[in-house]
Amino acid sequence: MKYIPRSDSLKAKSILLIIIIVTVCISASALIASHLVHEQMTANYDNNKETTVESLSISLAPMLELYDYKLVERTITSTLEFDSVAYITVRDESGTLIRTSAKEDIPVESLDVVNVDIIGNEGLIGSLEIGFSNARINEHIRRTISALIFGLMGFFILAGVALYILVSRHIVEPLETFTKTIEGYSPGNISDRVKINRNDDIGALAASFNRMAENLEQADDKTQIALQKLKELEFIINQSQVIAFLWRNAEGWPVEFVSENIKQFGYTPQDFIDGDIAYTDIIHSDDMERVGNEVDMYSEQGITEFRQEYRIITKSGDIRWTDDVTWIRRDQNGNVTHYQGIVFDITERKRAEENLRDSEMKYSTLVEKGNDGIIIIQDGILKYVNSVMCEIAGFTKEEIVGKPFLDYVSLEYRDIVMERYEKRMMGNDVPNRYEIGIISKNGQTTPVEINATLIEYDDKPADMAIIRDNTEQKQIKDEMQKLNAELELRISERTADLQNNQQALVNVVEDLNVTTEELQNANKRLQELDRLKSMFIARTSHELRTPLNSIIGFTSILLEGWSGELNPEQTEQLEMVHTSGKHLLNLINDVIDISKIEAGKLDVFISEFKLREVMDEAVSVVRNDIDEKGLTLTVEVEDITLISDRRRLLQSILNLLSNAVKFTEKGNISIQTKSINSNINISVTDSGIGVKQEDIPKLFTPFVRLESPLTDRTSGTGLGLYLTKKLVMEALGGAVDVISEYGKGSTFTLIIPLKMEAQK
Amino acid sequence: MRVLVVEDNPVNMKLITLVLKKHGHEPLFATCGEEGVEKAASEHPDIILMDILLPDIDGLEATRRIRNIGTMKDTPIIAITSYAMAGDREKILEAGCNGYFEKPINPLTIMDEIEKIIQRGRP
Repeated sequence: MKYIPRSDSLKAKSILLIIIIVTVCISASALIASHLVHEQMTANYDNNKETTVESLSISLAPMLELYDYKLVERTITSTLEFDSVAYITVRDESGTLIRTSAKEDIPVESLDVVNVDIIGNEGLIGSLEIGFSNARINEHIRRTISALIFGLMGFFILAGVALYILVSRHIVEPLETFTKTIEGYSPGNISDRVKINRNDDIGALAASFNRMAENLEQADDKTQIALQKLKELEFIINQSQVIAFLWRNAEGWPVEFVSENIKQFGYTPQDFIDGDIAYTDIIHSDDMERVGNEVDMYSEQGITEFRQEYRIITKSGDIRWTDDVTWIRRDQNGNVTHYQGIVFDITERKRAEENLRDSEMKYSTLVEKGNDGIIIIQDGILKYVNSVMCEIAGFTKEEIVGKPFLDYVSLEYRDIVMERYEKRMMGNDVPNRYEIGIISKNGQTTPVEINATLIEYDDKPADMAIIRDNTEQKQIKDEMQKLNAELELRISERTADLQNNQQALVNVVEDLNVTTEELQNANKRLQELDRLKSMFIARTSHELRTPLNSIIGFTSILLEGWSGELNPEQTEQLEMVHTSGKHLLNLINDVIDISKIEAGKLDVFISEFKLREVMDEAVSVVRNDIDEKGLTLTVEVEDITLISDRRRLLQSILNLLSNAVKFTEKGNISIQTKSINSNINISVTDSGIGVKQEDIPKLFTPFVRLESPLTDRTSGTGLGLYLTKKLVMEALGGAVDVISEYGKGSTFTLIIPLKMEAQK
Repeated sequence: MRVLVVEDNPVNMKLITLVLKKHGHEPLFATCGEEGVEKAASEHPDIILMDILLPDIDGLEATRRIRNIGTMKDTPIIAITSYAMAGDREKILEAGCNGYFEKPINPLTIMDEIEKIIQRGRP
C-alpha cells in the first residue's frame, strides 16, 4: 500500500503549530520591545534636552560676558547639528535678541520649547531658548523600533524553521515510517519491519515495535498451525462414524456443537444449532425416560464420565442404536453446565449380538435338550458335561466336572478307553464309535455307546464324546420289533384285500383308457372341424367379398359419371345395385365378426373421436330409408369426445338404427345421448311394433327372428342384435339395455364408457 | 407419380387403374408377389399399393423383400387388406408398410387415404 500524506497529518499539524508559535512570539516581543524602547528613548531624549540646554547655557555664559557674539553664533550653529534641535535663540538679560539659528526643514508644530537663564559671574546675563522637534525624535524612535522588530522577526522565523527541522526529523518522519509499515500489513502478512536505526527513544520504540511484530508473526503462524490441526481434527471426526456433541444443561439439552457427520442420521448441524430440533426429540420415546433418569443420576453423583446405549430416530424415521460416551462439564461451584459426548452408531453390532444370542440359544437347546449325553475331556479331565449326561450317570454337573474321566469308566473298559483316548489326542486314527460301560452314582454300570471326536476347546485339543444310553435304546428296539411284527401281520391282511380291489380298479382303468382314447379321437376330429370351419369362413368371405368389391367399386365410378353421363333411370338402378352390394357386404362382415368374437379373436382399436361425427355418419346411412318410409327423425347428441373403438361404436349404433327403421312403419325415430358420470347412454327410440316382454331375452339370441307381422316383409339374418350386444360388451366394454312395449315401440340403449382403457 | 399396383385380381386391378389414371398418375402392374419385387427393383416406382393375399409369396413377404432393395427403403408401400385381416395391423407395419386400407376399395376416397398415409410417414 502506497503511503499518501494527508492534510491532517502530523507534519501539517506541526507546521501549523510552529507558525502559530512564531507568530505569537513575534507579536508579543514586538509589542513589548516597542513599548520599552519608546519609553526608554523618550526618557533619554528628555534627559538629553536638559543636558543640552544646561551645557549650552553654561558654555554660552562666558561668551555673553565677553560679548563675543561670533563665538555664540558658532556654538549654537554647531549645537543645531543635533538632529532633534529645531532652533536656538539667545537673548540678553533685557530680552534683546542676540543671536538665533534654526533649521529650515523642520515643521514648527509639535515643538518642545525649553527656556533657561544664562547665569554669569554677576548674575543673570541672558536667556537661552531651544526648540526641540518632537517629530524628529519620534521619527527616530520609530525607526529604531522598526529595526528592532525586523530583527526579532528574522530571529523567530529562523528559530521556527530550526524547530520544524528538529520536530520533523525526530518525531514526524519516524511516525510516518511506522504508519507506512503498519499500513503495509495484512492478515497473514506482517513480515515488514520498521527501518529506523537510532540510539534515541525513537530507535528504542522502533526496536520494540519490530519485536512486537515478530512475536505477532510467530503467534500468527501458531494460530495457522492450530487452525490446521483443528481442521484435521474436524476431518477425522467427520470421516468417522463417531458424532461429537456439546449439549447445554437445560431443558431439551440444546445442542451447542455437533459434528457434520450427524448427516448419517439425516440431520444437519444447523437443525440443532437453530433449535429446530431438540436432542430429546430424536431419542426414541421408549428410551427417553431411562436416558433422562440416568443423566440426572450421574450428574447428581458427581461422576464425570458415563456411557449409555439408546435408540435414535433418524430424519427418515429409521431407528438406530447408539453408544453415547458423555463427559460432564462443571463450573467452579460444581454445577453442571454442559455435557459433551461422542455418539456411535452400534445398530450393526446390536444386530450381530442379537443374532449371536439367538444362535447361542439354539445351540444350547440342541446340546442340553437333546437325547444324547455330551462330554468334553481335556488332559484327562471332564471339562464339560451336559444335562443328559448327568441324567445317565446320576451325578450333578458340579459333582462330575473337573474329575478324571477314567474314574467313571467301568474297570474292564479302562485300558482300551485310555489307549484310544491318548492315540486320538496325538492325532492317530482310532475307532470312534464303540460300546463301554460307565459307573453311575449308585455304583451300577450302565452300557452306553460312545462316539468320540477330536476337537478344539479353549484353544487346545480336546475329546468330545457323544454318549447314548444303550439300556433305553435296547428297550425301544425291543418294543419296536414287537410293533413291527404286529404291523407286518396287519399289512399282509390288508394287502390281500387291496389286491382284490386293485384288480377291480385295473379293469375300470382299462375301460377308461378305451373311452379316453375314443374321446381324444373325437376331440381331434372336433378341432379339425373347427379349423376347417374357420378356414371355410375365411375362404368364403374372401371369395364372396372379391366380386362384391368390384360390384361396389364400379357402381361408384359409374354413379360418379367417370364412364359417361347416366340417365335418371340408370342412376336409380345403379344406386340399388350399389346399396344391395353394400348390404351384402355388411352381412358377410357380421358373420366374420361373430366368428371372431366366438373364437375370442376380436381386435379392438381405440382412438379419440367426436360422438357427433359418428352419429352423423350413422344417420347418413339410414337417411334414405327413413325418408322413403315417411318417418321423422329427431337427433339430440351431446357435443362430446370419446376414446373408444370408433368403428365398432358406429357399427353398433348403425345396427340399432337400421333395426328401428326396419320395424317402424310410421311415426318417429329419435336418437338421444346422455352422459352419466364416466359413461354415455346412447338411446335409439322408435314408434314401431315393439317386443313382448317374454320375447325380450330372445332378442339377443343368434339366428332367432321373432314372429311379427313384419317378419316376412323384412330381410334379416337374426344376427344384428346378437352381434351388437357382443360388440358392445367385447369391444366397447359396455352393455345394451332394452325397454319395449308391444305395439307401441322400443328403446334400445347403449351404455358405454367415455374413455376406454386399452386392453391386453 | 408412378404407382406400382401389386394385385392378382384383374377386376380390382382395373378399378385401381381407373382411379389412378383419373388422378393423372401412371400405374405399373404386377400380378404376383415375385413380380411385384422385380418391378419395384427395376422400375423404382414412387408409391406401391400391395395386396396382401397373393398367389405366390404374400404381400408382407413381398414388402420385406422390397425394403431390402437399397433404393426402395423409403418408398411408401401401402397394403390393401381384406376385412378379415384388420387385426393384423402390427404384422403389416412390422413388414415395412407405411399403412394400409381395407377392401372394399372406395374409388371416390382411395386417393385421399393414400395421401393421408404418405403424409403421416412410417410409424
